[in-house]
Amino acid sequence: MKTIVIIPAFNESKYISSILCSVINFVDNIVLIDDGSTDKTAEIAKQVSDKICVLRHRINLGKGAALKTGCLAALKLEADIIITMDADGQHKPEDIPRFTKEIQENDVDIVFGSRKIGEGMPYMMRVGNKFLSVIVNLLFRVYISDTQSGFRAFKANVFDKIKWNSHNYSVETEMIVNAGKNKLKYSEIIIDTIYHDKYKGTTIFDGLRIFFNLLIWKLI
Amino acid sequence: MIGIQILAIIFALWMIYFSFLHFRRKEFSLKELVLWMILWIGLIVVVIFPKSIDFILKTFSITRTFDLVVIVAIVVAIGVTFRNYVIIRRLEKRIEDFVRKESLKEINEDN
Repeated sequence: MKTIVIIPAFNESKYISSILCSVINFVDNIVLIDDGSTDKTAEIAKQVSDKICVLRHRINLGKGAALKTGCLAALKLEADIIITMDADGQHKPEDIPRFTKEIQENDVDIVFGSRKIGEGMPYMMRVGNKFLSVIVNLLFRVYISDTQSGFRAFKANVFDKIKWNSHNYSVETEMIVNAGKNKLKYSEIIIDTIYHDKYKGTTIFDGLRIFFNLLIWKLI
Repeated sequence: MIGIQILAIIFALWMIYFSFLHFRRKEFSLKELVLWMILWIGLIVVVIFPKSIDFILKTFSITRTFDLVVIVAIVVAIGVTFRNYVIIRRLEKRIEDFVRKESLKEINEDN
């Protein structure tokens, strides 16, 4: 099965080369979406390997929009399994085979990677994550212990069912909501995480926005 | 004439000047200019002759002209906010589609 990793990146020139070098050993292709970076993220990525397809957004549209572009590109490249990863190096590429194995052996549609709650995770992120997990479970009957982890894998043919409209960090939650609404077969695996930059990622305001979005998604 | 009326007239005249300026810069069509002129001139008429809209006040059981102005202003503000929201969402969607289409072209060129 052809496995393609999608990596949305915004000003990640610091880590991108090492991340791509380590990821490429585990997959057939990588689609890197440079979401309007002002540094040399795209240029560096292009030099790493021919198996990396670098796409550029002329302006910064947000993580959700970048992931959507990546998925459309992966479908064009005839992917069977699509994996999404963050570009800041917080996910371990060694976990990729666990995702593909889960899809192939247990025939699940989507696998959510969940970070170990507590291990190095900032306190506010821990509280916010738990809160969102409970709300998602109450509203959509899907329990994922880490709703905000960007490390996921799904069968390419379910993309239309989980397709999101969020541009920002709500994308991860919307993906879970759509999987729940379409009754997709899902599973969760625990992943290791390295926090390089505590100022990046979901903020408390993103959390509040996600909460209000959850209420809207429930209503429509 | 009280101070608030003078202020309202100055504001309306100022807006007439801006409407005309936008028309001269070809940012407004003649139709848009006429619409805005009707609005601002109407405001001046109501400010100078508040009794001219007494029939509206009676119809809607509103006590003072000022109350009517506030009600109309709130309704217009909500309407404009909604319209702006729709326009911004439409523009966001168009920008996203355009940027995505451009970036996906690269995949076709590479293959």
